[in-house]
Amino acid sequence: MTYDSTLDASQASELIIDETDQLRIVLEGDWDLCEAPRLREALDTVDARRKVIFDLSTTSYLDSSALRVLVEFKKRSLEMGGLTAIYYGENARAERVLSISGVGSLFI
Amino acid sequence: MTQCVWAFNAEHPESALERREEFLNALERSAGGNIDRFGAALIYNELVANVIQHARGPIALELFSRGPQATLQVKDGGKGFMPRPRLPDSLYEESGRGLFLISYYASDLKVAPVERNGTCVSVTFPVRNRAGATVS
Repeated sequence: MTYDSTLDASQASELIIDETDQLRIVLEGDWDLCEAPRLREALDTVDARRKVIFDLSTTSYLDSSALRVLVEFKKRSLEMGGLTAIYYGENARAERVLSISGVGSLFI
Repeated sequence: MTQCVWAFNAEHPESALERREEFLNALERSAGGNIDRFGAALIYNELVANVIQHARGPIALELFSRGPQATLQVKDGGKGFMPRPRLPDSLYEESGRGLFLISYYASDLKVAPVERNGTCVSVTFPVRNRAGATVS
C-alpha cells in the first residue's frame, strides 16, 4: 500500500459544466455524503443520451456517496444510449478509489 | 493509551463531517504523523455514512491509540448489521461499496453488539514507521 503524505483541509466542492460537442463535468474539491445530493440534482438535468465526460482531475476527495451518484447516471446513460467516460488527469487518489470500488471499470 | 471522543446525532451527519479535519489531526498526532490522510478521511466518512444508514440518535466516535496503533470505534444505538466488506455482485449496484472501501484502507474492521442496545464498529488504521514500512 502506498501513502499520500498530505491531504489538504476540506475543499469546497464546485461543479463546472462545460458544454460543447460533448459535456465535460468537472467535479472540483470534496464530494461526500453532504455534497452527493447536489451532484445528483445537477446530473438529473443532464441529457443522458449525450457523450458525458466526468473530469476528476481536480477532485480532492470522493466517497461511496458520490460513487453511487456516478453509477446512477451511468445506468441512465446506458438505458438512453449515451456515452460516458472519466478523466483522471494525474489524480491517482481518485483513480484508486474508482478502481478498487469497481466503478471505474464501468466508464471505460 | 490516549483517547479522543466526539459525539453527534445521526440525524445531522454534516456535523460529524465537519469534524473530519479534527479527527485526522488527532489521528496524525497519535500515530506520530505517519498516516494515510486520504485513506483515513475516507474511512471516517464511510463510517459516518454507514451509521446514519443503520442507526438513529446519538453516535459516539472514540479514537484510541496505543503505541503506533490507532483504532476508531463508532458506537450507535442501531440494531447492528453483518459486516460484508466485499463489492456488490453487480458493478451496477448503486450501494454496498462503503464497507469494502473501509476494509481496503484499514488494517482491521470489526463489528460487534454493545451492551443493552447498539453496535460498535472498530477500525484500526495502518501506520508506518520512519522507514516507511507498515507497522499495523
